[in-house]
Amino acid sequence: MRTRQRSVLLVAAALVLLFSQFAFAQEAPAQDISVLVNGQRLSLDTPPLLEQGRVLVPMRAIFEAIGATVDWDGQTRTVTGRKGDVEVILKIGDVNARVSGRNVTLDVAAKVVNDRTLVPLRFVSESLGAAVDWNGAAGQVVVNTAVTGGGELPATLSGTLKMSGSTSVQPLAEELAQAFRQKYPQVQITITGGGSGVGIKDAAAGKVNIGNASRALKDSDPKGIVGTTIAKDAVVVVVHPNNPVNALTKQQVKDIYTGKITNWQAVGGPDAPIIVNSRTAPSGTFDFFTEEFLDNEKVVATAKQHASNGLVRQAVAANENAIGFISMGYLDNTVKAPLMDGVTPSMENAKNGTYHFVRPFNMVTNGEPTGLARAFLEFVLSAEGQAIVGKEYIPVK
Amino acid sequence: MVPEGSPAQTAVAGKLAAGKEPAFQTVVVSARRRSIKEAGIEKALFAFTILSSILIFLIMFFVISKAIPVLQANGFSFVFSGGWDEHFVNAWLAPAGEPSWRFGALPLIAGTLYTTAGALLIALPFGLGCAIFLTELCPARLRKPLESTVRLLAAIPSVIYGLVGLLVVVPLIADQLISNELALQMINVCALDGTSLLAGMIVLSMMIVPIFIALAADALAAVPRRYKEASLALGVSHWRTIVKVMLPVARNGILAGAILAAGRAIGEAIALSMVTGSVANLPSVRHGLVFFLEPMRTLASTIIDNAEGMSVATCEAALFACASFLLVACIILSLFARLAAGGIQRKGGAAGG
Repeated sequence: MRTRQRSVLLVAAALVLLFSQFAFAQEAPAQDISVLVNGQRLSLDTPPLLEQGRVLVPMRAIFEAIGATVDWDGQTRTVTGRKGDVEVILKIGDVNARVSGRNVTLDVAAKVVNDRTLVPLRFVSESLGAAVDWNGAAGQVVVNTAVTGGGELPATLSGTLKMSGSTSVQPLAEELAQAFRQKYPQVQITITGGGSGVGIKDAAAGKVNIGNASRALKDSDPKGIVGTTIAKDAVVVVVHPNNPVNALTKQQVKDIYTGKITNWQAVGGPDAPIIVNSRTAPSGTFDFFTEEFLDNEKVVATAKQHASNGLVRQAVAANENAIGFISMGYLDNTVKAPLMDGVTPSMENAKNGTYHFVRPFNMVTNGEPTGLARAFLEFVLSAEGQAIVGKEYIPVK
Repeated sequence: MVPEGSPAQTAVAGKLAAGKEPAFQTVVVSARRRSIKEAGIEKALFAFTILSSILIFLIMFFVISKAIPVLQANGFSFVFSGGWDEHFVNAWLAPAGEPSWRFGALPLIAGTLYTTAGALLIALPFGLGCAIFLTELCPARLRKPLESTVRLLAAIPSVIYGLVGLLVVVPLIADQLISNELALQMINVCALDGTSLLAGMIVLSMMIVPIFIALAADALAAVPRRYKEASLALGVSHWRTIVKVMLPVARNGILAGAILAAGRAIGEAIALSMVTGSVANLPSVRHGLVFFLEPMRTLASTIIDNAEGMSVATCEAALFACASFLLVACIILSLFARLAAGGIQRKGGAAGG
């Protein structure tokens, strides 16, 4: 009797979880959805569409991004995508699709919007061997083609795995490396910082096996690199714990960092100057911050420049009038994170999508990952690895 | 291998001619072997010397050649204009096809000169006083422990000075010297939070004072004893003897010490990057005494703070341009130090020990 009650409860809880996730997915406004394929933001001429919890994206962009070819037959209104020996056939308005000759029934059919053919993202990606994450967090869909996390891990491994790059990714990379080494004691792992830009360039130059980047990859990054999105992280604006300011808006943060507001009084604080702390240019956090908070405007020239998250936190903790921005993983009680646009910058809110300032953590390899790097990434994307990610960051699975 | 007519050879030849036991044969071999070995070592040492001096020239060539694109693109405006931080971000974010070569390092160069001059201003009188006390006035049983303490201070890594500066000097300046009103008044020019030129000067002077004391004390100790005795015998007071006899004689040695201390100050990176605020701001004398409270950054700490940018060619060249300025400054200083040291040797030689 007891066990039955318990299992009923469990099922109920699972259903609640399932539906709540579903509900979040529906809440996210469609124009806010971005799609990251191998760490790079998919540039779309038509915004993704959200229908019944499924994300639809323009067909050419997604097929090409995951390395497939695509054909469009206007007469039969059929989309045919090919990658290797897998063939995916979709018909506009028809929920019956074919994958390599097998019949598959879709929840949502492909459709035409503004003369663009939109196809269901998850179906297309997964049919062609990519891993897709869509849990609504900050409206970001993550697609990894190189490593899916479903692969078998070898029984034994040895050698040295070198990583460098983002100081935001570094603490997480270290925890993952520790767990990986418990599985494979013969593997040596070295992790150094340097900033996202350094990690990407080091990986491209073959100086490291994996470069860590706390931002989406860009067209200006070296050619031939492949990103694997391993986690998502929130960026938080922080002030000194004694600062009476408990809430800020994005506009206020922007005005402070561009030098339009220089007194705490203007945002409800004491009559004191605002000491602005920023990061040096190669930082992925800086990149994300200028893009998302400052709309690409320039940081005021009087801002102090720091080379790592830890230094920004230290500078803010040391000065009552300071403001700074850090990776959520660095948030502790030496600094305070005011409400941002009325939302508490917390892990829950970042996970459920109400806190929007979320960016991807990418591990970059020179070409598709091989050997030790592939094994490590498979581990990171496995259930075990993602459980470690979930302790302080947002998992992608 | 053995040079003609060397003592070993003649001795052996003599023995052989005398027709003595062939046991001497082994002596011949081992002597010959030893001299081969010695010659080899001498040659190797010679090669090492040549190699290291070539290496120094190669480093200079390397640094300056890497810096040339930026120096060419900016000309004199590299030295006479500011805006480094903004230029650096622009250069880092520039799209691959159109690199941004514009850099202005005036605040960094001026910052380097300000901190070095300021640190010397504090360190020289203080260090000279300590050196005089150590060599002339210190009770004999205190002298050894004091001297070894000073030498120990000279060996402390600079990051520790930086840490002490950050945790002690910076908050002290923020609490004692910077009022809320002053900070508000200055906020559009620079953020006053204690990290400042003054903090840099203080920390840097703490760092160079031990070296200077050690060198100045050596110079004073090298003054021939009879000079001092002659002066005292003439009835001149001890203090007057120090000022009128000993200091003038030791002048060049003290000068060389000061120049070496300046060399250390100019090249210091970590400690200054921790306490000077890390922003390419040019403190202005127009702000009166606030000049000393303004944040700034030196050439050397810029190389540390912006090193992450090295993967972009323009940023790398700009940092090498900073490095080449530092290198040239250090070479000039060390030439001066040599000149001054040459002065001591001549003086010492004339005095006859």
